[in-house]
Amino acid sequence: MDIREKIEQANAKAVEAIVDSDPVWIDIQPAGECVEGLEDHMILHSGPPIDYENMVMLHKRGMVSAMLFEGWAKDEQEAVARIRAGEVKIESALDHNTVGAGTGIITKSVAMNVIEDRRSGKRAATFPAEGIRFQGGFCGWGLYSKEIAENLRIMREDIFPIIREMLYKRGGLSIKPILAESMQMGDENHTRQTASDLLFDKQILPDLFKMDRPKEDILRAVRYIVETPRFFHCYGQGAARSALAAAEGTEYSTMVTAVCGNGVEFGIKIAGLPGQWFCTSAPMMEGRYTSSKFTRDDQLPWIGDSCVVECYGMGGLAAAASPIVCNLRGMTNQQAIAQTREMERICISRNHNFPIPALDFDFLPVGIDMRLVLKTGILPAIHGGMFHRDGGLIGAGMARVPMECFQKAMRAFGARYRS
Amino acid sequence: MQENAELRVINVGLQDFYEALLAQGAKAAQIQWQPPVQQDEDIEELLDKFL
Repeated sequence: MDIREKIEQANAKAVEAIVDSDPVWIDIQPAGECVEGLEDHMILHSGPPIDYENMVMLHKRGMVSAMLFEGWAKDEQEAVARIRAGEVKIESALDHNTVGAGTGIITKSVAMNVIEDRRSGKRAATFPAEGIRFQGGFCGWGLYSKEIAENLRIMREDIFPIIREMLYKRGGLSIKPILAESMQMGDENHTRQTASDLLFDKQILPDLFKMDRPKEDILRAVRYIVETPRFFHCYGQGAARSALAAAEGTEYSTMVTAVCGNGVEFGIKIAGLPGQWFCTSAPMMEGRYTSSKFTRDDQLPWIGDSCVVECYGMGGLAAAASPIVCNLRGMTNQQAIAQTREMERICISRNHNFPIPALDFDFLPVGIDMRLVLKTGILPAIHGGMFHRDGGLIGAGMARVPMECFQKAMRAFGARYRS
Repeated sequence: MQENAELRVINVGLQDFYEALLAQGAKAAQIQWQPPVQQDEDIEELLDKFL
């Protein structure tokens, strides 16, 4: 078999891991129990690996937040001293079976959603939304206050036991049908989860109300779920991460399995080159700010791992599914469709689970092939949130994965598979 | 072409030209096209081998 045939077969296998995945939300557990390789005194962050000294302020603050939350330091000064002394290990979330949304700060004690791909048995853990008041606090913005820490404890000790009991009783919650239906209702499941949130609520609220628990406890859990915007985002990311974990390590595959940034560098991973990062400078996102007072000078280059959903064939690849998201950035419906059609040219296959009305029920493209990116010059479109340099969400927009990542990956692929 | 014939344009490539035609009331169709990408020699060689 020649090398091209081996690559084609490998890519077919890798993309099948996505298309045929069967992600199910099965549990809520402390990160120390469900994130593989997450040790005591270890802090995970979003994007490619980076040293503390080179981090943007948001990540540095996140490191300190984690030290304080875990009780590894009594104040900021001690936290920084201990980090600089090398007393904690700092690693990329995507080098584990998890996703660093935003700053992606994860330590052993935070509660995580566990998603299992029933097809492969691979599990992924994702950080749950922190409720309407503190959303984006600890994990997303790397913020820390007594109130944020208290909210995390309330989530872990008061709310999640109820939700976990409900989840066990119903035998888990299948994620794929929610993704599939919401894709026909205006979500691309990166920037927008409006339909997914409602479909999720429809599934679990009846089971919550049936529980033999004090009404006030149940209502607290219900309020947490229904009042938090984009509540479903972490489940979509978990579905993507568990499927991509099954594709990682597929020998000869040129499929992209990770796309992410840390505010300084931007990196990708390739299925056939497990454990390796291919990085360049993080790009700026183009989009709309939430206020006219924000400018490009306020904006941080790309930070976050949420493009696991693009690797799964959603977000920027699914623009045609969400004219509303594209319209927010001044794009027409035709331009949204054109974006998805363009992405078809760099993808391995199409996902029959996602037929899209605006495409006359054609299927969404899936599985970014680095060879096709290099050959066509078409860079993957990625959707996401725009971060302020000092923290906080200031808009939503889009960027393209830099070509240099693919050039570096191809050179490494050549070195690995040329003979 | 007749002097008073309606202008119908097929625009290849730059989207702005297509949109400018529409803004002036012309009938136009857009064809997405961009020049072939020229990668570094070693990348072109690897693509020839792997694609």
